[in-house]
Amino acid sequence: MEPDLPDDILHLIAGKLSSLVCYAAFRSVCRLWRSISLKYYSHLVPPRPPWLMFPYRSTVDLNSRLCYLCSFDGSKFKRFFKVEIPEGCTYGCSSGTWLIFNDIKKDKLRVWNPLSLTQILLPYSVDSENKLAIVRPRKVIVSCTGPLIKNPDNVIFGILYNLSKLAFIRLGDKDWTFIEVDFLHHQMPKASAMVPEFADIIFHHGKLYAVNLSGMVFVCEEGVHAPRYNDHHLQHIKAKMLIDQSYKMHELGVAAQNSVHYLVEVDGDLLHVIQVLLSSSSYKSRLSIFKLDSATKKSYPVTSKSDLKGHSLFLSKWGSCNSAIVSETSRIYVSLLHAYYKLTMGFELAVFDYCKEGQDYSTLLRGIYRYHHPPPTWIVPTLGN
Amino acid sequence: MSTKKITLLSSDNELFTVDEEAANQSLTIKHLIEDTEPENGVPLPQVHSKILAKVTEYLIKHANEPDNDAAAKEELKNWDDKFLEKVNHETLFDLILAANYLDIKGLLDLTCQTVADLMNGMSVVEVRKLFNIVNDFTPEDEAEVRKRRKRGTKTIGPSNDQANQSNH
Repeated sequence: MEPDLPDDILHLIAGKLSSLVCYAAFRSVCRLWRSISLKYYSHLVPPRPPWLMFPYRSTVDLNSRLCYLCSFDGSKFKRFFKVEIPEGCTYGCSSGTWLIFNDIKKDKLRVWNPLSLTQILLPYSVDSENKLAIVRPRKVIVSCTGPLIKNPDNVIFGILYNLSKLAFIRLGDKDWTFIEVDFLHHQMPKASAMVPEFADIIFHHGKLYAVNLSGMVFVCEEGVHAPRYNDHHLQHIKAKMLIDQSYKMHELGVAAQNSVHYLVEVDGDLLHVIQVLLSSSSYKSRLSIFKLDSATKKSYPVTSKSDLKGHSLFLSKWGSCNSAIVSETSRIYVSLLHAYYKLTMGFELAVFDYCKEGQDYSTLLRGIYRYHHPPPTWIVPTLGN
Repeated sequence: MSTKKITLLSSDNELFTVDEEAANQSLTIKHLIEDTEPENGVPLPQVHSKILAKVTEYLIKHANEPDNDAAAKEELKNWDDKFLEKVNHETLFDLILAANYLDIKGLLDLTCQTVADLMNGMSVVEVRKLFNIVNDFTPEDEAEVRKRRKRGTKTIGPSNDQANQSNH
C-alpha cells in the first residue's frame, strides 16, 4: 500500500518524464493525473515547424481581408484555415503566435492572435522632435510566450519605423520608451558607411538581441538574471555592441542597402543570416549564415548543412520563427515580397538548399500581395493566449 | 567554520546527529532551529527512523557540494545513482514525502526523477498499481478520447491544389 502523493509532487514527476510513451501512460492513469499532465507536454516534443500566413488571392473582391493560415511539413502545406484580418488593419509583422497590425481606424497598434482571436491595443509612439508625427513600429516582438492579457508586466519590444530605433512598451504604458544604444567607441571598417537602422530583433536565452543594417549585433545585457525584464532592468536597459559583423559584410562585398538581416535561434545557438540581394529588380539573392557566440563575442561562418544539425530555418523580414526539424535535410525557407509587374507586389516562399556556393532557390509558393494584406509571415500557433 | 551538531528526533524516538551545515539543507529543519532552538533534538514526528537514516545519509554526503570541481561533481552524481539503487518502491515514496516535508530540494528532485525513470516502459495498468490508483475514467470519458483522436487525423480546410496560388 503506497501513500497518496500530494499534487505538487505529481507535478514534479510529470515534469521529469523522459518520453512521450511515458507521458501517454501518465495521462491515462486517472482524471487527476490527466489534468496535471497538460502542463508538461512541451518539453517532450521537438520544436514543430511554424505555420505560414499568406494572403488569399481573390480576383473578385480586391479588398478581401482573407488570409490563409497553413501548417507546413517542409515540402507540403497540410491544413489550411481561412482567417479574416480585422477591419482597418494593414501591414504588420508576427511574433510567436501574435500578429501585429496597424489599425488605421483606431490609430493604434493591434496585437492579435488569429486562432484564439484575443487581442490588445497599444499606442503608437509620438516623435518627440516633431510632435505631429506618429511613429509606427516596423517589427515587434512579444517578450513572453504565455498569456499576454493576464501578465500586465510583459514587455513588448519593437523597432520603430522611420526612426529605426529600439524601443519597448508594457501593457498600460502611454508611450514607448527608447533604448539607448552603446557602440562602445567602435570603429567601422573604413570603406563602409555606418547604417544604424535596426533590421531585426530576437529573444535568445532571455535577452534581447538586435542587428542593424551595417551588420552590428547588439545585446541588451540587463536581462541577465531574469527570465523576464522587470522594472529595475527596464530602467537601466541599454543595447551594447556585442559582435561587429560589418567586417563580414565588407568581406562579402555587400552594402547595407542591399542586405536583409535575420536573427534566428537554432538548437540553442543564435544565428545571424545575411541575405545579399544580387540585383534590385529581382529577388535574386544569396545567404550567408554566421553562428554568434555571445560568451567569446565572436562569430563563426556556418559553411555546411551539418552545422544546422538537421534543423530548417524559417525566415521572414516580418517575423522569423525558431528552427525546427521538418525533413531529413536542412533547408532555409524565406518568405519574400517583391515588385511584381508594375502596380502590384508579389510574394514568394523561397527554399534555399544551403551550401557554400551557388545558392539558387526554388519557389514553393507564389501569389499576389496587396498593400492592405499582412506580409507573408510565420506564426507559431497556440490557442492558450 | 562552525561544526555545531544538530540532533534530529524521528517519529519512533531515535536520535540522529549531523553537522549544522548538513542539516541546513533541509529548510524545514533550518527554520525549526531558528524559531524554536530545541534543546533535546529537533522533533520530526512525520519521519520514521528507517527513512530518517536514509535522509541523513544524503544530507551528510551533500553537505559540501563542489562548485567547480568536475571530478567531484561526477563522483557525487555516481553516489546519487547508487543511493537509490537498492531502495524498494515503498521506501522511495516515503523518501519523497520526507524530502517534501523537510524541504530538501536536491533529494526531492532526485527521488522524483527516480520515480519518473521507473515509469519508463510501464503500462498504464502497472503505473496504477505502482501508485495504488483506481482508474476513475468512465466508459464515456474513454469513448470521448477515442472519438477526439479519430477526428484529429482528419484534414480540414481546402485541399493543397486550391491554395497553391500559382499564377505566373
